[in-house]
Amino acid sequence: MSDSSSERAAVPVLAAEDLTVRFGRRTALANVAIAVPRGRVVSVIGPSGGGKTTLLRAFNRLNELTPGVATTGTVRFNGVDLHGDEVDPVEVRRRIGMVFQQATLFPRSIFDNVAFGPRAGGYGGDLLELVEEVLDAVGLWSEVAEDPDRPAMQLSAGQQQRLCIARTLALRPEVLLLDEPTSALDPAATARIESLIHALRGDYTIVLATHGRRQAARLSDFTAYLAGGELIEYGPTEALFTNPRDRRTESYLTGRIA
Amino acid sequence: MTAARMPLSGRRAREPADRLARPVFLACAVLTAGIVVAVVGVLVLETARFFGVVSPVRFFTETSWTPFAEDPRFGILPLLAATAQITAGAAVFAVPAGLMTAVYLEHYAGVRTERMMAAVTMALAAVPTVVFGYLALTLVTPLLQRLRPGTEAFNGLAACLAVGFMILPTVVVLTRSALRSVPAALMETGLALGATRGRVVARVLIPSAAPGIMAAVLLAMARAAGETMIVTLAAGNQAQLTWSPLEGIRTLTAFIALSSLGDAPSGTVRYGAFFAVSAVLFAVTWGLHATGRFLMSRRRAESAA
Amino acid sequence: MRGAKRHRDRIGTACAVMTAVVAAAFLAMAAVLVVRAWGAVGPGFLFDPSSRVADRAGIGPALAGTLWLAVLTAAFAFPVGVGTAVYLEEYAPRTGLAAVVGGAVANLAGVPSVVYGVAGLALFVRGMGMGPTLLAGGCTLAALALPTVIVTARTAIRAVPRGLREAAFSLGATRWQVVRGQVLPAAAPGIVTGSCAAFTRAAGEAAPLLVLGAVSFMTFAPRTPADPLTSLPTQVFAWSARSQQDFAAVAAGAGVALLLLLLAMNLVARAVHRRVQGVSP
Repeated sequence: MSDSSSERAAVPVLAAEDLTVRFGRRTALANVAIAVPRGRVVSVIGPSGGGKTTLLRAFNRLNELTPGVATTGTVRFNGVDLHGDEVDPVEVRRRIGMVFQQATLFPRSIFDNVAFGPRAGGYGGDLLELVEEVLDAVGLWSEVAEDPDRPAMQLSAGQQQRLCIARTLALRPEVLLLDEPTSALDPAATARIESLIHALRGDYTIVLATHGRRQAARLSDFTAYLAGGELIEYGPTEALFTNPRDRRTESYLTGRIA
Repeated sequence: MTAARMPLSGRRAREPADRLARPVFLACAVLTAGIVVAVVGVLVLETARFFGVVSPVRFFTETSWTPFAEDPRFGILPLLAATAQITAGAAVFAVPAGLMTAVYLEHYAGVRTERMMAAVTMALAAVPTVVFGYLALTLVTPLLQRLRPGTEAFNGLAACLAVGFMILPTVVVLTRSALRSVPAALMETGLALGATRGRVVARVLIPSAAPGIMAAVLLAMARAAGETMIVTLAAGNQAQLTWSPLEGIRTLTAFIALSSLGDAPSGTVRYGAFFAVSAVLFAVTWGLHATGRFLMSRRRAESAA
Repeated sequence: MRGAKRHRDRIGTACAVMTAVVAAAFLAMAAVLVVRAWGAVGPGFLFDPSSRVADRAGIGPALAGTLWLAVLTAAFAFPVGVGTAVYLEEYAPRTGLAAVVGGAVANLAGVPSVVYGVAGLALFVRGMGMGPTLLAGGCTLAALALPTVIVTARTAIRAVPRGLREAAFSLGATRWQVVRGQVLPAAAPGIVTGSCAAFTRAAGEAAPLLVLGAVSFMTFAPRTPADPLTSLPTQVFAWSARSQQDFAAVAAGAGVALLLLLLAMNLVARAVHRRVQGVSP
């Protein structure tokens, strides 16, 4: 972190401009403009189907895997257009890691799950060391150290989600996109993930899509409210929660919109 | 985290397997497409050449099929009629038997019977048709001759029975899946209203599953129409128009298989006749098959809605 | 719901009787084959060459021919079929030419086998000058099995959860790494089962080989794919056609041998299925 804070503020890690995503006739995102500052946690809140997942998937070019998708506008990563001709989507996804709502583990061992990304990228270092390091970072190493070769499916739901985060950390990404990582978990497991997110802030830029208004308030520096594919409001979390500028944001925060 | 400021480095050279994968898979698909085009193309081309010599009108209207005679006749009606007789006859046996077996297995049988019959059905489906042909000729026909002394050594009835037995697994398996797609609540409602199981089956379940059962019948009939070895061995080689199931007949498939096609010189009218007959057979089975598949896909669409 | 009363109504009884008739017919069929075959099986039946005398006839060349055909069919149809399925599911756009090819292939699965014989005669035996050889037979049976292999492989690939693919992509895998590392291992059991069923079915086919010009009288076992086309199913056919002349028993013997061979192929398929299933989870 040798950069000066002014420079950091000047170039956001991720910046979308006029971003529109359509699936067939359905418009999932409409003219969204948002800038994600480096090293901060940005949460994206809003009702289901409001475009949270689509926005996250636009940040690492996953949407284009869905047949019939059409994306217009730009997304810049460190100032470079993600959809530029010279950009390799594989590299984009390695630099901008993603964790899904449902823990989608590979039907392999714990070790193989973490090693998949590094192996795919031709990692030259000590794989065992890397796996231990990232499992330790998510607090899982002490729980699985005696047998990391057992099937990953044997882990509890909360452990599985932490394994998914570890798997993404093993790519050494700059950005973590977390798509409702706790919505399928019980309160105890949710608390562990939340403290993990808290611990990872600063080292990583984190974009967190969440259903939980309180979770957004607890964890994030900035909050975006997304509904009907539109970015209704975006600003510092405290300001948005205490003094929303838009009536729709206010309705949502006070629970008048589910 | 100094690395964090690195801009995207641009397209990276992939390992060879990565670059080769797409063209290799594409080559497989192109080869498949080539085979499809070649199979269909050769049928179309040779048939077209045949129709350049023999008029299609006479082909489809004349009632005499004598391709090896001095003055050959190419009227396909006797062959088509024989195929229709075998297909319909096989369905007459297979549809009631298959439907009743499917109903029994779905709604009455215990677990053990069900498992045993599932194994029988699978075994039956795996038997090569030439074995059914052997049994039709050497087992069914002698039995028929004992029952009706006038029965010819080659006859349509024995072939119908054997083809019916051959397509039975198709009817059973597809009918069962059609019956299973009817919501179980219907049966329970019917029983709760005091109807017997049999009444609910006959009045509610079979009518609701009718499109699926119809699809099962059509797909089974497509197989029957295309079946070659049973009719070649048991139904005989007389290209004649007859209503009697106890006489010998010759189907489209039996003509193709029996006429030692391997010897017919390329380019002759006789050689072309095989392709014309194959094209007709292709059209008949494709029609049955496509209609069956259409009914099945509509059923799926309905149950999804 | 399945209580003791389930047989009490008339429709149920009728259906039970019909099911019993079907089972009995199956058992009778198997019994007749085995009893008749028993008389034909001498010490050298499996290995002896064909003979004009029923008592001395064996299935050596025919058996070797069918083994060759099964290997050739699998060697051609498996890689091409699975490759096509992967291309259509993972690489090709969902519309346009690829969709047309996919639809045509699905329809070809219903075309009678004898039609493939006619096409194979024109394309392989005559067109490519292979003559009536095992190679031509293998190519024809491969063309016959190909649609089934493709359709079952596509079904198996489509059943792989989308989340698995997306997780792999989001971990920076290339499409090939996703296919090799996740999709194919997860789909392997389905692909193997479906393909083996297609090959077993093809190995039992007589009609297309008859059209290609299969021989039923061979004094030596084929040693290369360029040897004359002979097979167990066409042997059963040839002997059945001469059942009046004492060949009924050897025809049954060859038929039982064919059934046992197909059964063995099925068992091998199951063993492979269990292995691939054991490896992937």
